[in-house]
Amino acid sequence: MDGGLKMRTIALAGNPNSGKTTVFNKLTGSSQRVGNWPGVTIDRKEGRIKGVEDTVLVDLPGIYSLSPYSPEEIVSRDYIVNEKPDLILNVVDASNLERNLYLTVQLLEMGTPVVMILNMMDLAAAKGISISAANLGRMLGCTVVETTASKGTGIDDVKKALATASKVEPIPQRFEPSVEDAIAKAEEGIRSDLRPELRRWAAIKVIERDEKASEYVREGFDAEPIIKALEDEYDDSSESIITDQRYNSICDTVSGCLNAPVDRNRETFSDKVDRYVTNKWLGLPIFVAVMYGVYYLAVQTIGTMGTDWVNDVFFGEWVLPAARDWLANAGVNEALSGFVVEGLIGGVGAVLGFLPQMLVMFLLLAILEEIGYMSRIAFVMDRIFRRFGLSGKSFIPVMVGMGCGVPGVMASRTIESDRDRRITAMTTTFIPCSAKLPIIALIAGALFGGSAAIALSSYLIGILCILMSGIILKKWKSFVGEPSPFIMELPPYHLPSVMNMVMSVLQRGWAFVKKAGTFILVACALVWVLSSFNWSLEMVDADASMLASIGNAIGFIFAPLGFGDWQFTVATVTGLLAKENVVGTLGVLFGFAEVSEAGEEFWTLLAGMITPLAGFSFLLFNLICAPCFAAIGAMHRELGTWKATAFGVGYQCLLAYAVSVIVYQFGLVALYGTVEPVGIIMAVIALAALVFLLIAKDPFGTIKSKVEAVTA
Amino acid sequence: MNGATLLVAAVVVLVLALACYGIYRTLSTKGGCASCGGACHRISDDSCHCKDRKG
Repeated sequence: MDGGLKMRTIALAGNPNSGKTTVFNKLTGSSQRVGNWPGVTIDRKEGRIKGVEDTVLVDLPGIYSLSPYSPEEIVSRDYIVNEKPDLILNVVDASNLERNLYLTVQLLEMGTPVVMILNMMDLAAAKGISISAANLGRMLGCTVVETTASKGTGIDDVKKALATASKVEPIPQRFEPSVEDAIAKAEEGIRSDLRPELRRWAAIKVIERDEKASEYVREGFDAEPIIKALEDEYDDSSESIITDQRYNSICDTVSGCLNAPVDRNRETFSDKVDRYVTNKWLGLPIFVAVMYGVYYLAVQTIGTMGTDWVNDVFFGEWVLPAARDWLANAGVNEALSGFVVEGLIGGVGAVLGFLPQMLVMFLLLAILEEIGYMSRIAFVMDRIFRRFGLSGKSFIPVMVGMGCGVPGVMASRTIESDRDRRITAMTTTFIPCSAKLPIIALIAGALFGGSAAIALSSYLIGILCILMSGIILKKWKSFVGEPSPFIMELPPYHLPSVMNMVMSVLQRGWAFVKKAGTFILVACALVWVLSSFNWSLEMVDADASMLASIGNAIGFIFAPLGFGDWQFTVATVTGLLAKENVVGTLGVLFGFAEVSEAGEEFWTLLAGMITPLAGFSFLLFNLICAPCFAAIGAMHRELGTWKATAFGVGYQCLLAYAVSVIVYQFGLVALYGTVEPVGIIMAVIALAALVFLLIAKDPFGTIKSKVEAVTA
Repeated sequence: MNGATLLVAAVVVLVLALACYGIYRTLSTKGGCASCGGACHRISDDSCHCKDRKG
């Protein structure tokens, strides 16, 4: 309600990747995340339509039907049944009309007026498909508007159609007489309090043996004899009978509204490209090459130029000298000056220096998403993931997690299988998120000459950890089971929308800056205070500070990993609050603010403290171990209990420790011929444990206990 | 303690207070928004249209 007037509610529904969110953004002027892969919207969102008074538009997750097979379908169906929208705006991919109409006919069955948006008309035209919108509207009983939402074409027509659409009566699809007879009989058993327009739809759901349909049936009514009689007549399951007849009717509708027959054997541009990009042998090498290119541009070349300028010129020549001079000339207290320059500006500056590299990476990832390449990657990875007990659907959260682990973990809820969903929520954060990029860029820049191979290896190791975890966790009693099937439509390639890319880069960049101004700023302030004072609160050198004593006390934990020095220990611990803190903390402790050419000399100081091998081990541990608090919170929401969350976090930390100790200790032997007795024993134990967990068929006694239970 | 020190101290306190408030806002709200690429990190951010999520 708004000002006493009832708001008109319009539900936006359609198949995954039909362009709903683009339509939503164009109609409301908002900037929801858009991706050229199915499953971008996993929950409903609301917005006001620009230029249309008292109207709320609700964007529902993409669905293929109104059968409750997945959480998205349940969200959409429950909304339409329970919230009674005044109108449904059905976005249809015009280049894939038959499959999209399967949802449309079900929406029309629900009796709510429908406006159909024939979207992606440009792609349909490119495929040689010409549709008569007027004929289609007449046959289905709804208003049909043609659009190409990515280019903004037809959006005004949609707004005009909203005004008159409620006067158009939906024409429910008719089935063969025997089916219609069964539906009529089932309708008699529908609860009397169900809205009249929903009664036919509910009866069809009863016939389909929809698992939630019992909610609509009045007490004492048994639909089974009606369904059985129908199944005997057709010698098929009732669900298949309804599905077949729906598709037959849709085929008739499509042939009645096409202006010219479609050549189905015509190979499109996307088909030609996919022959190579999704090829069994070429798909993975192409993916590795593409990602190498992304990191080459973001970390090694273009992004680095920006980072060098921010570090050396912006902070090194402008901000830090200006702040230092002004504070000195004004006669500000020395400790306070140090706090501002070294603690706040130095700490936050060390993190913000990586912003240009991140923006370049965000842009390149946005381009890959927009053109449709990311969905191909999910398809290619499905083949690999399935071999390791995971579904290819688990790769969608991984792709989202490249931006931020929080939505990445949340995206795991699109996976139907509870076991796969929980494993994915626990392992998604192994892929480096944008907050981990500064750590990668710092280690690559300071110790490996800015090599893009370090960045690429970080991502490949992340994927490897996910695969290993798939094998190991699937043997744990709560996760045993086959991977859920993965059906994904490959959207056609298209040119990226500049607006979508800009929005994506700005949103992610702004999130990073906001985090730098909150979590990182406060953490850097705390680190400076703790590293400048001793326990008697006297100002001392960092080595005699409170932080040094804390770091030294727990440094032994990380010594076998090669970074037992208190500075790296403290940086790792502060990284649990937010991963950017790792770099911020090192910036404060290694005096980012005290050197003239900030970036380079900060890196030189760092390189003097740690060997490249130990640095790589430090990087691995911080990439794989528990994510930041926000992502742990998201894990808790998806896993449901603190016990499961603690299991997930414990597993991540143990795996991080095992991988780092193996890499560092065996690296020491291989590269320097050095053997650290305690460390190498730990590495051998960790390696043996990992190999055992990977190879043993029943390491946790899960199968044995199940057999015993069955025998008993 | 001179005036400049007091002024800088006041600004620092203000900046840190704002940062703490930002952290509080992030941590005190449930859920997270998957539709904005993680930009809001919460459900009640008006700009995110996720008000109807229940955490």
